[in-house]
Amino acid sequence: MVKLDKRKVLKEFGEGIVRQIKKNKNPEITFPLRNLSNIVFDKKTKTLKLGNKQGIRTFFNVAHAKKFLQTVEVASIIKKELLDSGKHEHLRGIFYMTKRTIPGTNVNILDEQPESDKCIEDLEVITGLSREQLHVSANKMGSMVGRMVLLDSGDTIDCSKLGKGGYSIPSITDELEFKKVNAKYVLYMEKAAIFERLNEDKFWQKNNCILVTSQGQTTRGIRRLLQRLSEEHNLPIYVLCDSDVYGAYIYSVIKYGSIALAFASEKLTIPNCKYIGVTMDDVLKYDLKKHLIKLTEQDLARIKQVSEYEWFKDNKDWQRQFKFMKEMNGKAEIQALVTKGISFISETYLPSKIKNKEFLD
Amino acid sequence: MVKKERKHETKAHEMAEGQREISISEFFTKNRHLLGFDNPRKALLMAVKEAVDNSLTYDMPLLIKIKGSISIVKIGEFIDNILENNKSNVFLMRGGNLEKFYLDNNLEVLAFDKNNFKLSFHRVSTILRHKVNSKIYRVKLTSGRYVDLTKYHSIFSLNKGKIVPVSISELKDGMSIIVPRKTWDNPNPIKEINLIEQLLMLSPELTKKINIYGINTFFTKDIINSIRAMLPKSKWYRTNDFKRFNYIPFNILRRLEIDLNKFVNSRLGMSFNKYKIPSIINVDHNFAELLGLYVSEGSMLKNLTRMHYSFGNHEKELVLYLVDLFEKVFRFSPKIKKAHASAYNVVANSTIVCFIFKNIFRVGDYANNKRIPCLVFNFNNNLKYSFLLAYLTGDGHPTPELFYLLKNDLALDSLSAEKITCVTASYNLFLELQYLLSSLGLNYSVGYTAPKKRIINDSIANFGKGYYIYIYSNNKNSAVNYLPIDDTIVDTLDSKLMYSISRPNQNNVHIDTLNNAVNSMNTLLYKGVDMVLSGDLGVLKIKSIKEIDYNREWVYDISVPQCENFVAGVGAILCHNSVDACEEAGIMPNIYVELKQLKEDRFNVIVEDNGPGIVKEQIPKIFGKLLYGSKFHRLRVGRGQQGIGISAVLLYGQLTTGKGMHVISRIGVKHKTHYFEVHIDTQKNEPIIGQDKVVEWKKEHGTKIEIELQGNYQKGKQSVDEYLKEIALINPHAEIIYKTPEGETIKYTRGVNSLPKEAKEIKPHPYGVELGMLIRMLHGTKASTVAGFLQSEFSRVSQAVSQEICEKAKVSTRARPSTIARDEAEALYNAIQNTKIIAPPTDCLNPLSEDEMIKGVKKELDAEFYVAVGRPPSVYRGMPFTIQVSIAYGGSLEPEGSVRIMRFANRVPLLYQQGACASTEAIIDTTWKNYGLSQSKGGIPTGPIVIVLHMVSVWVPFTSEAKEAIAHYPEIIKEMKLALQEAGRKIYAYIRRTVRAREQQERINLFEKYIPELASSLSVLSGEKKTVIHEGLTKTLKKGLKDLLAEVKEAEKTKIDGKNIAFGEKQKTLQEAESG
Repeated sequence: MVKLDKRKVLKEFGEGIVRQIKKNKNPEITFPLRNLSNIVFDKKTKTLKLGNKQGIRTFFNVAHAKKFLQTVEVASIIKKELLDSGKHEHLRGIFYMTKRTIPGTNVNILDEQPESDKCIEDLEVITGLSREQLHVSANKMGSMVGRMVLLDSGDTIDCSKLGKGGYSIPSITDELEFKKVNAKYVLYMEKAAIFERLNEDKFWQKNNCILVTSQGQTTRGIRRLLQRLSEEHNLPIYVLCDSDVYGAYIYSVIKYGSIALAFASEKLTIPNCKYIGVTMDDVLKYDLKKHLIKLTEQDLARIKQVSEYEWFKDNKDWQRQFKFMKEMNGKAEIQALVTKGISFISETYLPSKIKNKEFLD
Repeated sequence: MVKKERKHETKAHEMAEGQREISISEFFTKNRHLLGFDNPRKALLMAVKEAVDNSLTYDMPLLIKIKGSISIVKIGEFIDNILENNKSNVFLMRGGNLEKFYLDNNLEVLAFDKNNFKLSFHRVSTILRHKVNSKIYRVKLTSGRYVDLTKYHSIFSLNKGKIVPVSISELKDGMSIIVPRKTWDNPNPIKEINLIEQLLMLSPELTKKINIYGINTFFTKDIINSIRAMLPKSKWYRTNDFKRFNYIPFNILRRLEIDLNKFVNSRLGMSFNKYKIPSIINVDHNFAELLGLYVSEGSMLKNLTRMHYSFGNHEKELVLYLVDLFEKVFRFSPKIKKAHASAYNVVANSTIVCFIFKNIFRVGDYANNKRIPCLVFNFNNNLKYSFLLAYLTGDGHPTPELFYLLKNDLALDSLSAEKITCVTASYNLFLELQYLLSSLGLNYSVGYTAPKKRIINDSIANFGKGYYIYIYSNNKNSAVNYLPIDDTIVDTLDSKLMYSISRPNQNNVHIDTLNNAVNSMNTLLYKGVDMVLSGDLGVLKIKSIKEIDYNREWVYDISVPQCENFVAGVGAILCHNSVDACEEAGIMPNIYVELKQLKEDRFNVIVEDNGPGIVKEQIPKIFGKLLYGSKFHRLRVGRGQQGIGISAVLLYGQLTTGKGMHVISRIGVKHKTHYFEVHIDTQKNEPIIGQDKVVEWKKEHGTKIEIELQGNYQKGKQSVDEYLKEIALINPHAEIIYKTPEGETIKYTRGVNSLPKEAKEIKPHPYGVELGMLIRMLHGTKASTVAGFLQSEFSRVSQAVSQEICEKAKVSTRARPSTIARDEAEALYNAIQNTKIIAPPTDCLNPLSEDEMIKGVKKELDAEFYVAVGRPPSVYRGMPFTIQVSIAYGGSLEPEGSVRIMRFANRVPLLYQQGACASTEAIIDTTWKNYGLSQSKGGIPTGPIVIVLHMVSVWVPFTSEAKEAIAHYPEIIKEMKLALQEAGRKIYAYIRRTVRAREQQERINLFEKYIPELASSLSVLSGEKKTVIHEGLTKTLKKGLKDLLAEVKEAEKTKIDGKNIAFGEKQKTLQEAESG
């Protein structure tokens, strides 16, 4: 039944446009704008939310025509190829399904994947259906290990018995079922290398926690997984990143949401997660100064930008971090801790941080 | 040919006389810069001329349309006729060797449009004939089509997707020659024939026995009176006869002023013959078929009393069919006679029918002179087809099946046989049939049988010459529907196509296959193939090229403006018309340049031309002695370095390698070719001729030099390559073939087929003479007094002016020029400057025409728009000059960076010292922003533009003796700026109008392309029918077109201002890469 509903929503979207065409109107699609100008930081819930600004995309408009066509094309492909058949496809696959040359021209409907990705995001806000509901998945880029058992498409998985690799987190995590969770907190880290280090050291066993990682940006699936662990099992979420502006941003996305996905904030943000490290204070404390990487122009520009975001603006701790970065003109990777010993991070650094509750909010 | 040769000789001798000794100091002050590497080419580009005449022979069929009616004529007969009838207006050229007539009536020929390869009728501007000047060749194609032409004429070939003219000398067996592929017809087909109108065009002598019947409705008193006025009183009674028998003789009708429309229902007949026919004949299937059957089966008596058709006794049905046609067309029935046991005859004893068949339709009266009536070519294609089927039913085989097609209105492709054979004894019919088939887009081939005797049933039967035509019923597989693989497909990944084209002996590919490949991603076609496919042209391969005998005096050509081609030949072949080549009696220059690298810095330079050659006595002097030149104070627009440049090269070569120069020269066919090895004795400045012998050379006239010298070969801005390219640009009448040291052969083709005007020679104007020159002239003059000197050596100096100068200078008018001292000369010089003298004549300049400028630029620069501006002549310091500017815009020109400047002086490129040149200053001073280009302050503008600036003058003022930059005279810069501004305005108009409009249109077009896409995806999404959505969108598009155009402009604006936030670039940078 759920399947049918989704198809109906897309069909209605199409019918709305057809109605306009039949009235000989210039067909238009209306949807909430998804850029910084329409992002509101809700101080109460501490999440990023979409504002009320509406974007209008009309077909007979030189600047919009292609986008318009792309949006409809992607919608029709999702309906016909995915929803009707109940199959799932990756973003990349959607891109290839949509990409072709318009007959009689040298114009491609799409040239690059970001274009189709954008269309899917547009469709999410237009239809109110999430990407997952539209059967579109992204590459899995994360792993998880720890004392928990879950049910994934009928398979029971014990995340404590998955060796070095751990559980490979699927791109859609809404449908995972947590059978048993036996942990005190969740440690999420930006770097897979650190994950491997901690897993090898059986950090999760010794500290009774769950380790989660993704390569770089936190995928939607992982964000949703973390949110569910936080909400359904009341686990504190600790975030471990490089001590740089990008790490700060990764943390803020998990905590408050992101600009691009502000419309889905409710399902993704974890307002009470904490930043465990690495901080500039750690750099001083553990004498990592000589391992700092010099900031580039780009880094500095990004620091300026991020530090002015509303959700960082009034956060004294974070402003202090940014100030440090600029003063010391450097950034530190988590791996810099290895200079103190190969298992320094699992044996000393993290336990002491957690024990002393040295977190940034 | 003989006369022309003599002309070259005179030229060579004249040049010899013009040579004179110049002092060493003068040479070095003027010309030391000439010891440059690129000079051989400059020097040799000078006196070169060549004749190219290209024409068709007398008998070549030509398809013409005159006064709206199409016919096929022999080009020679047709042109001879016009020239004979317009003798007083025929232009005689080359001493009568070329005759030319400009047409003002509406003669059109079938030609293809170069922009889309569509065939249609185009106006002929000029017709001409010239004396046979080369061997005549017959180019025969695979189907049997052929065309006879002179050595210089070209026909078109398909070469890597491009349709290019190729002359006989370059043609090879197997090459693809362009012929019409699709059908063509008269856009205004004939619907009825008013026989009265046609009869009026015949002579009264012919029509004297013709009467017109059914006239009583208009036979009024007035008419009777006007008829009586023509007759002697004794014959007045005849009007009563006319009235009583309801007719009048046609020749009386001729003289009456009666509206012809009154005769629509009248009938025509001939005296003493009872059969009468309608005076207006509907051109319909019946008529077309009747004509067709006559052409194959009919004949008539010489006295026109009887027309008969003969059939075999098995053709009873066809006999009845014919009788029926006859009734429908002429409203009477012919008789059917059983001639003998095995034959039927259909006989019509109507003299009027015979008369109009012979004199109006002109179908011929017996087998050997049958023709296709011209009017058939003016039928619509349906009727043409009917005519053809009827004809084939008679002359073709298999007859019964063809008759079946005829009866049932079927097309040839429903025939079971693959080919229809038809044979005729009439050459004209044979030829016209080919045009008919070509006009219907049908495929055919031809053959001949020689006349012979055969013994049949023990008696000797004479068989005349037979012309066979084989018509192929399956037209899809017609040879013209195939194009050569090598010239269409670059490469393909399509495995099916790859397989089918890679089979051995598979050289051709069907156009349908190519049409599919046009839109396919896996197959790459040559650029231009799509245009060939959408056009009306196809190709046939050359079967043979043979020299043939031709006994006539003239060969013929016509000029079709813009198209430069026309359909002619036996069986329709597209011929290249390059009539303009005949404009001038001169020789079109062909130059061959070859650089061979011998060592790192050693080169062998070979330059060969087809110029007038050099007379024997002068060869060592011109090439050997440094100071031998023809240009001193003889002012005439020339290349400036004749004679001197080449000897400078010799000296340079000799100094760097120790080797001399090899020279081969010939001044005409009747003269021997001379070979020399020349050195210079640098001490005595004398030539040393190492070898002097007579050799064999294939060229009729021309010069070839070869020299080894030290040099450095580079590509780029100031290279030999660039120099030749620019030479080709500013001398579009020259053809240059250049072989680079890397072995690559570059051909700069000729873009203009007429030679530049020969420059007139003028004496210097007093204002233009410097003191030193004045002194030299005073010493060199033959005049005996100063006044005489001033009047004879300068232009615009009258007696009064010379007196005024002498008075102001306080020099006696009668003083001897040779005794004038330096200070007196200076006084004279100052006096000249202070005397008012009128400006020099300006007709001594020979700039390129704007058209030539554009053609030159067009062939060397690939842009999308070209303009040329020629200023009226002006004067600086007593020297006449004119400025020409050409600008090429867009296309493949570099869109970024400074514009490219090409500078020329008297048709010679200036490659060095651009910054020091007056032209650069003029360009910088022009405000290009006004013309849509960006330009930083005090800089050269930027944009996809090449500026060609050419100064033509009897004396180009260079900043230095290096002759690399034009000096900054205010008058010159002013003229340059005016020319640049005018060209700028033209370009801007184009940019504004065309480019903007096109961009907008392209965007609108985009919507049209998007609509079907949107319709189909919306249809999937909503379940609504695709057509409904499509229609709705199309309607909205039409409705809102105007608003959309406004939107386009708006969108452009916001794009520029960066305001387009909603969907623009800004969004991208802000969004975080959270695709996860």
